[in-house]
Amino acid sequence: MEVTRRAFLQLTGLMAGTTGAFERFIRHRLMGLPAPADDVLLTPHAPEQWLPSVCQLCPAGCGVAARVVNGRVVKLEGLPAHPINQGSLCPRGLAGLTELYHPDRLLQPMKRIGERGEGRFEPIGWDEAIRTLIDRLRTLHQRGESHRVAWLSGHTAGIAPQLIERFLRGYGATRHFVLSPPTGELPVDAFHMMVDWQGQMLYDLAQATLILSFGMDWLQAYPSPVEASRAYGHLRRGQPDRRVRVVQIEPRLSVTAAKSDEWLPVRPGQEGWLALSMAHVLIRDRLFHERFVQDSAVGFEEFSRFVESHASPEQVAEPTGIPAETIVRVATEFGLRRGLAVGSRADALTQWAVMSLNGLVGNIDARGGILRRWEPEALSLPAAVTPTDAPMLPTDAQALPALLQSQQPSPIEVLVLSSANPCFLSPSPSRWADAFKAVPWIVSCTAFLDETALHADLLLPTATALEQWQYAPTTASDGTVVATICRPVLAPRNEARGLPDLILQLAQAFGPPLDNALPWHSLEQLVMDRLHALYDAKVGLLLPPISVPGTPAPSVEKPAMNVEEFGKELLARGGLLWPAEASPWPEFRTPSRQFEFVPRAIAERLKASPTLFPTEESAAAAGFPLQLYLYSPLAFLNGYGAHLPHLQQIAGSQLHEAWVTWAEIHPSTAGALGIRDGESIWVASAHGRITVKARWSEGIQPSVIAIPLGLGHTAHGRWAQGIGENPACLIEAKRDPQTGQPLWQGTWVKVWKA
Amino acid sequence: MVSRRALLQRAVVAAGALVFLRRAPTAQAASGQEADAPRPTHTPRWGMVIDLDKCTSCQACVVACWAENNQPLPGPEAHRAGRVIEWMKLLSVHEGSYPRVRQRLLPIPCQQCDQPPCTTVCPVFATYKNPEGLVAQIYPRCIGCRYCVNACPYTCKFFNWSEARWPASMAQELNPDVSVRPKGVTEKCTFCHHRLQRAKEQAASEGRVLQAGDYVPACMQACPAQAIVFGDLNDPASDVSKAQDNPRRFRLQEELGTEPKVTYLSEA
Ligand code: SF4
Ligand code: SF4
Ligand code: SF4
Repeated sequence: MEVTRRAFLQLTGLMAGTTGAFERFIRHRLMGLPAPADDVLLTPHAPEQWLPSVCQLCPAGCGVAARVVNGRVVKLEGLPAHPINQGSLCPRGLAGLTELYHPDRLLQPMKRIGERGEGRFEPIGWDEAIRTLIDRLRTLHQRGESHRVAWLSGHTAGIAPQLIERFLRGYGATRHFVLSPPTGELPVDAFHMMVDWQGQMLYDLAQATLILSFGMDWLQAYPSPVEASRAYGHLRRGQPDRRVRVVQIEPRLSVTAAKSDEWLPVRPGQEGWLALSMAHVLIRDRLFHERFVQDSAVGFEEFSRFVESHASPEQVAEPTGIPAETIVRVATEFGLRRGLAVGSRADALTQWAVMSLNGLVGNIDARGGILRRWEPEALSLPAAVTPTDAPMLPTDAQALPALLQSQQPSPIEVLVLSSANPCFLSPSPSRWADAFKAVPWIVSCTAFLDETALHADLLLPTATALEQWQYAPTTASDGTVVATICRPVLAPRNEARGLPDLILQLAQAFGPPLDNALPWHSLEQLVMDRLHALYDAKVGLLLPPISVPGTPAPSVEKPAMNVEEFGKELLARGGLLWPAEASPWPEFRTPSRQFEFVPRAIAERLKASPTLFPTEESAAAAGFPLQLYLYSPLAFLNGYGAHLPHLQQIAGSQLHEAWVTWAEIHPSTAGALGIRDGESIWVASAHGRITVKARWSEGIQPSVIAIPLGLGHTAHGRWAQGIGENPACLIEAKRDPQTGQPLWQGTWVKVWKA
Repeated sequence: MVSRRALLQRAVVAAGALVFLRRAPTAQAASGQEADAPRPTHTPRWGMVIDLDKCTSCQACVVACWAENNQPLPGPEAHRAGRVIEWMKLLSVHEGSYPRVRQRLLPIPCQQCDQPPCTTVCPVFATYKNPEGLVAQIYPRCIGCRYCVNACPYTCKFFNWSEARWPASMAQELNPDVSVRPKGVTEKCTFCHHRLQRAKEQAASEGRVLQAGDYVPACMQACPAQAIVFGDLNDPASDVSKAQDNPRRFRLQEELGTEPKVTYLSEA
C-alpha cells in the first residue's frame, strides 16, 4: 500500500507539468493507475511537537496547544484540561495562526517620514528606535517633567498591564489610560458601587439555575467566550435530568436570543426599567432572599419604596414594550429559581438595576451567582522599588482627547500607545486624530499598521502571543485560577518583539530608577525568577501533560521534584492552577459587610428625577425616528478581528452576510420607508452618516436598526481595509456621568435609500 | 434559491439514471482495495451526532475545519459569487414573525450518507464510500464535472473554481497532512480522514487497536459546548451510538433516502 502510494506520488510528480481535467482523466482512467485510498499526503511522517501557549485575542486567556512541524506552527487546538477552555477554542483562537502569519504584520521598527496620518514611514533598526525613545524620556525626566508622559493601552493580555504600570511608576509618570471595549464587559461599576470592593467580578454561568440576560449577548460578546459556550452546553444538556432555562432581553434577536428559550424584544435603553419592575415583583410577592437582604444588605427600604412607586409591571410595560404579564411571569420564575441576572457594562443606572436583582436573590459571592476574581499571592510579582508612591491618576481613556488639547503646549509630551486603536473604535473616532495633533511625540507598539498607528512618529512592532514567553494569570468563571506559563512556541517573525520584553529592555536601557522597578532583562528571566518562587511556595497544581491526539494521556507527575524538574514540567505542560475552593471569598463579605441597594451616586440620581430611563421622544420629533443598536459579533469581539479573513467570513452567518456592513431592520419599518431587502441605504445621526446594506429581519424591534461593530477599517491590513463601514462615527462622544465610560447605545438615526 | 432547488431535483433524477452503470465497478474497486489491507476484525462505521441544544452557534467548528483542512481562504469575491468553500458551515433559518420569531442555527458538515447520491453520479469514480462508511473524494481522479456537487442535497460538495492561493507567510500554516487541492476539482468534508490515519498509525506504533477517542475530527475537538459527539456507529456501546439513541433525534432531509450518518438532536 505504502509502495503504491509512493509510486503514485512520483508519477504524478513527473506529470506535474500537465494538469487539468483532461490530463487527470488520462492518467487515472486510461493509464490505469491505481487511485490512492485517500488524500495524497504531502509529508506523511514529519516529526511533530505539541507546545503549550496562550491565546490573547481576547482577555479570557485560553490555553493553547500549538502543533509544530518543521518549525512551522500548523494548527492551534485548546490545551486539554486548561481551566478556561478545557481543550476547546473559540473561532477567534482558531484563527490565531492567521494573525501570527498575517502578510501585513508590522515586522520592523519604523519612523515617520510623511505627515501625521499619511502613513509614510521608513524602516529603522531597533537600536535607533530604542535610543530615540530613551532620549526623549531622559530629557523629560531630567527636566523634572516625567508626568508629561502618558500611556494609552487597549486590550493588553498577560503580564503586560502590570509591567506598564511599573514602568510608569518607576519613571515617575502616573497616567495609564485604558480603553474599554464597546460591548461584552461585565458591569464592574455597579459591582464596585454596591459591593464596596474594587476588584473584578465573574459570573458563575455554568452553575446558574436560570440565566436572565438584560441586553448582554453573552454567547457572542463576553469577556470569556469559550467559557460562555462551555457553560451553555453544560446548562442545557450536560447534567442528568436537568435543563437550565435561558431568557434573553434584547432589542435584536442575537445569537444568544436565538439560542434562548424566550426572547423579550425590549426597546433599547429600557432594560433597566425591566429589571426594576422585576425587582418590584420580587419584593411585592416576597420572592427575594430574606436572609441575605436582612443580614448582608443596606438600603432595602429605600430601594423597595422606589420600585414600588415607579416600576410596577403596568408602569413599565409601555416604555419597555414588554407586556406586564410577561414581566410578572419571568420575575416569578427568576425569584423561585434564584436565577442569575446578567448584564453588560452599560450606563451606571442600568448596571445598578440589573445588579440589584442579584442582590435580591442573594446571588453575590454564591455558586451560580456572582463571584470575584482573585489571585494567589504566590503569583504576584515581588513589590517594586519605585521612587514615588503617588497613586496612579484616574485612567478614564475617554477623557484623554480633551486632556491632550487642554493647554498649549499639550500637558502630554510623549504618548505611548500599545494595542490601542481609538481612531477606529471609539465614539466619533475622528476626534482622536485631532487630539493627537496636539501631542509632540507619539510612539505606537503595535502588530499592525492600524488607523491609530498612522498618527505615530515611531512604530515598534510587537509580537503575537505564540512568539513570546508567557506569564499569564487569569481566573475562570467558577473561580479557578490558572497561570499559563510557557516558552515561545516559535521565535518572533523578523524584528517583532513581545511588549513585555520591549518594556523590560526600555527600563534597562534607561537605567536608574527605572531598572530598579523592573529588575529583569527579559521576560524569560522574569519567568525563571517566578518559577523558583512558585517552587518555593509549594502551591498550585501542575496542569496535566499535553497528550497528542491519538495517544493515551501519560501518567501523572511523580510526587517529589527538584526545582529544575519542576520548571521543566511546568513549561512543558503550560502552567499551574489553583482550584476554586482556595478562593478567599467563600461567602459574602465586604469591608462594610453590606451590599448597598442604593449607593450614594444612585441615591442622588433618584432624588433628581424618577425618570431614570427617558424614552427621548424629542429625538423622534427632531427627525431621527429610529434607535441605533450596536453589537459585536464574536468574530469582531471588542471590535477586533476584521483583519482575519476567516472571522470576516463568519461574522454575519445569522443573515448569511459577510464582507459588508449590514443593518437589520424590521420589514414593516423598511416597507414604510420604501426600502427593499438587500438594498443600499444611508443611516445618519446628528454626528455622521454611513451607507450599509439593509437586511430585513423579523428578529428586531420595529423601532430599531441594528448594525455590527468591527468593520469599516481604513487601515489594518488587506482583509480589513476598505471593507464595510464604521458605525462608531454615528455616535456622539458622550460619557456616563457616574462611570466615565463612553455610551455606545442610545443614538437616534434616520435612514433612507441610497 | 429556487434555481438551486431545481438543479438539485434534476441532479437527483440524473443520479437515478446512473445507478445501473455504476454498481459493478464500484464493488470491484472496493474489493480490490481490501485485498492488500489487513482485514480488521471489526469494521467501524463512523458517524456524528450534533446536539443543537448544546450548540451555541459560535462557529469554532467552522474555523477549525478551515484551519485543519487547508481550505482556500474566503474572500469578498468568493462570497458574492457563492463560492466560499466551507466544509463545515452554519445554516440559519428564520421561522415566524415578530415578536414570535425563532431562528434555527445548524452546523452542517457532509452528512456522510450511507446511500450517498453524490457518489453514484461520478463518471470517473473519484468519489466513493469507503468500507468504514466515509464518503471520500479522490482529488487526482476528479475531472471537475461537478455532477456530485449538484447531486448532493445538502450542498456539501465544493468546487475549486480558482486556484487556492495563500500569501507566502501564510502558506506556513498549512496542514502538512492534508493536500492542497488544485483548481478544477471538487472537495468535501472527509470527517478529517487524515486524523483517522494518524490515529491508526499511532495505535499501530504502540501495538494496540484503535480506541474510542483516538480519532476525533477537528470540529469536535474545537467545540467549546461539546455539542458534537463522534465515533463508531457499529459499536452499540460507543458515545455516538448512545447519543443517537435519543427521542430528540432527527436527520436532514431523511425522506430522500440518503441515510445520513450525521444525526441532529433538536433543541427542545
Ligand atoms: S475565548 Fe477565544 S479569543 Fe478569547 S482567549 Fe479563548 S480562544 Fe482566544
Ligand atoms: S463549535 Fe460547537 S457550539 Fe460552536 S457552532 Fe460548532 S457545534 Fe456549535
Ligand atoms: S452530504 Fe452530500 S457530499 Fe456528503 S455524502 Fe451526502 S450527498 Fe455526498
